[in-house]
Amino acid sequence: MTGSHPAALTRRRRSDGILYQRRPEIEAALVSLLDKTQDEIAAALQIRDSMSPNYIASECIVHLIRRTRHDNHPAHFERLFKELMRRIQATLPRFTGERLDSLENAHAAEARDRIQHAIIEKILQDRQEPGPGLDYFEVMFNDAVASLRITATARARTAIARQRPLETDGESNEPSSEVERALAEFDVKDELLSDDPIYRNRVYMAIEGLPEKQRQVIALMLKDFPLDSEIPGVVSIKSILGVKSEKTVRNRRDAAFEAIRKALKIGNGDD
Amino acid sequence: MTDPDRDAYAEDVLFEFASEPSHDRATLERYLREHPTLAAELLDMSLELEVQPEREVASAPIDEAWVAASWDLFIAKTPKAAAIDPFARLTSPETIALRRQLNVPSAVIQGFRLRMVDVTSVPNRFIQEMAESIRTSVEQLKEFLAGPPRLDPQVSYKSDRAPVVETEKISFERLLRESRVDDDRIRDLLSGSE
Repeated sequence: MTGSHPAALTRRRRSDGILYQRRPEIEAALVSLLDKTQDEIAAALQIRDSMSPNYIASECIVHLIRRTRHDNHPAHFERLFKELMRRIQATLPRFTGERLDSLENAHAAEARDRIQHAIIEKILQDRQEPGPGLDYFEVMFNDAVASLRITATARARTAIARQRPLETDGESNEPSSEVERALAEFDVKDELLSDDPIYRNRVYMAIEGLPEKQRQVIALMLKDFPLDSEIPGVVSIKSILGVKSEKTVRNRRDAAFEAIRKALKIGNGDD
Repeated sequence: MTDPDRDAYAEDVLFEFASEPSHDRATLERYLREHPTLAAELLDMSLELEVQPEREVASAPIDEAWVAASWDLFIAKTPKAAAIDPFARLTSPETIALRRQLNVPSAVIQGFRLRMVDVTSVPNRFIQEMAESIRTSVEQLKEFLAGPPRLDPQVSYKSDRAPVVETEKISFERLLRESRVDDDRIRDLLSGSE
């Protein structure tokens, strides 16, 4: 079997009308993969080092899964499917330590199960009647998983929020003046400038583990939005989040900083 | 908008945002303005795009139990068409190779092909070896074997009376004994040791 070519992705368009395409390196990898035997592919699926020349990109795994639709080699499909689920898992946020029992972690666990169901539905649908449902996963796998995960998380959060009484706002949780002084010297962006990738990853994990309201403030701060603004036309964190006062934004920011400092064990004497 | 419609819309917008060449303040602001109902999701995606490269660097052990559970869920959700006959595509030389590989007489293979054997009485090790030899999965083979006993699809029957198919399944041990497998080999096969 030589000269096989992956079918073009032609169904998904951006809102400006441009068709989504596979990246050129994925197209090239597929052309080479489609000439390989199932045994060769099975061997390549064992490779975990993404820098290895024989490593199969996740986008290619999705394509190979779609191609098994009509063949009768369930063992081949099972290998591809399981590797796909490993790749999905590797892209999901993980919470450890004290956040394990937190509400946010419960959301993460539920999101993991929701993404499991969602991807299975997409594969089943694609096998029954080929459609564009998996196209994004061949274009940019990690972003497609993230889109699906965030959508699933939002749904889970809405479902839980419906069952809980309204939370009091950040106003009431003001940090003590001592904590406030310590926080004044802390800036999450400075921490993310660290040269140590493991440390940076810990900072990001701490941010991801924050309650939603605090996490949103940090996400906007990382993009340099001001907490508040009197200047016409300048969008601020306060206006985006639709809160009444700048103080609420500051309280959420300070609570977030404190939680991140604790997670990183900065300046609290217990490391 | 129903939940599935909203999910599809959210996925489209988030993916498009992710595929932007830049994720700076101006880009995020534009998306927040154009899709105000997805503000929470867009902020999560903005953060995700910052974290993603870092997460790829930090490797973590894979939860294989979740992977296996995902496969079980996929099988459970797969619409049950007639179970695929994994023996149908075997050529004669392949059938002989299978018999040699498993070191059993052809009558034993025939017992499986005709689904006469009760799958619950067969050690997993044997099922696994057979599945590998005929290039199918353990689940697919078990699903096929769980069906009722059948007539040999490769034999045409010429008789005044319709052929009768066995309705009772037999145990793996009985199949081995009736196929004249010697006692030592039966013991090995039943214990799962080779």
